[in-house]
Amino acid sequence: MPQLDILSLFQGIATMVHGVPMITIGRIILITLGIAFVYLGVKGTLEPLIMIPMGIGMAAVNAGVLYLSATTMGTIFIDPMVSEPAKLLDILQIDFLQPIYTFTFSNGLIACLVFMGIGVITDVGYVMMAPFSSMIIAIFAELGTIVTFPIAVWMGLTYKEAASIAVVGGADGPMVLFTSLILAKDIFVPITIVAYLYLSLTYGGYPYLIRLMVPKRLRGIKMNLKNIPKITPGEKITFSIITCTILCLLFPVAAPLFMSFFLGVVIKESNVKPFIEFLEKTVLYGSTFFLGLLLGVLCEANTILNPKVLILLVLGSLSLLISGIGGIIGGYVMYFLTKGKFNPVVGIAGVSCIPTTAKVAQKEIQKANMQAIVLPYAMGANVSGVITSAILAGIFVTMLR
Amino acid sequence: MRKILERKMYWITGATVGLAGVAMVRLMAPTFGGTAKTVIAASGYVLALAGILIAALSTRDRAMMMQAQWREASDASRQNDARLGNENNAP
Repeated sequence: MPQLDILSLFQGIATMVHGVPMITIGRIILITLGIAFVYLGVKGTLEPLIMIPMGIGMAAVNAGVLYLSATTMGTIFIDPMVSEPAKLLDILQIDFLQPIYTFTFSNGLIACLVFMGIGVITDVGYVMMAPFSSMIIAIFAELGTIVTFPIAVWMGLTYKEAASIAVVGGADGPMVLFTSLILAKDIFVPITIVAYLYLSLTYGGYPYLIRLMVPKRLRGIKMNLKNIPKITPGEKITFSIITCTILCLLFPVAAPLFMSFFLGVVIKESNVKPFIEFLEKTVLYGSTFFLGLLLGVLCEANTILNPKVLILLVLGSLSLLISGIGGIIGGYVMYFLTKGKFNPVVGIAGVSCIPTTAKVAQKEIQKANMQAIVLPYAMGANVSGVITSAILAGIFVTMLR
Repeated sequence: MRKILERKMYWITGATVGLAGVAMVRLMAPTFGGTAKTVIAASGYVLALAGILIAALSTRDRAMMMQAQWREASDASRQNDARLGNENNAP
């Protein structure tokens, strides 16, 4: 019987043993991290819609490294670094996720699809019923983006990289993906992963920030819901068209994102049921699934082990933390402007993680006062947050591209 | 005609202000240089945002009207309660 070579039998282990020690350690850590993401996603600690496919992808891609030739190692999942047309055409026929990456990721289509889905579940009427407070809060909630940019430059990132990581403060996953793909393609993988990871954590972290910054007495403030006007679909459509046109004229680079978002909004308001169902279910869930899976698969040790990752991890968390603080400061500004009638906790919803932060605000307020309902105002700030973070991303892309 | 214009005032003003902001950023600012360019562009961005805000205020009149109606109704019910209370307390 010939001698059994275990390393030849399990090529994934052979490539791990024969690889550079640093990469081997990275692969083991990433496999463990992937399993942890799946566990935390299933448990509900992290966002399961993103974390489950991402975790599985991460574990599989780092375990599934094989010998592509006598000297080269790689995977047959995806090759994000290929740009030469002839080589790309070959890879498209070999790597099974390459078509999705090339035709939806690198051109920003997946971000637009997610935005169409978000648009169709968003009610702009909430912005129109309280535009002033919504906008004020949303502007304050961009504090993280504004403050992180110079800090990132100071920490050694280029202007483009700094802008890409600063946009994490807007708490808008597709926006981060879109900006980093345009401005910092070399490090868009770690930036987007940091963004999605932290966005999943905001649900767990922001309640503590609220309790730290807003005393229980203020958290329980009841807001007046009696004078909320009923906004007709026609008004919402008109508002969407005006806003979309102005934003597209202002930031043509981000026009695909604006169009996608407001298209979703207009379809929702025009009540075209087959389209609503298609965008809400198939497009939103389909693109979220592939977004998670591809992000996980892109977490191959060779791609992600970049010396800048640690800096990105620090800056991403800093950006979201400062945005949360800024949002609550915006809530306090409204509290003082309305002479105590506005609940400052609504400010956290200015961080535009639709609808997570609005839900966090409502949940925390109800813990202090069961009868206090602020969800319409929180959703208004939430939707305004999407608009302001798109504006900031547009400014960065226009100025630095 | 005048009534229609009055009703649509916020929409028209909002769109006009927003487009003026766009014109400042896209048409005016590039013709200047240095600080003037930055100032004009920044003002344009603010103006465009203000345009969106003004358009969103189109429902403001209705909100005010609803608030006034609600205030009137609550005043009336309070007066009614007070009157009924006086009648009940009458000898």
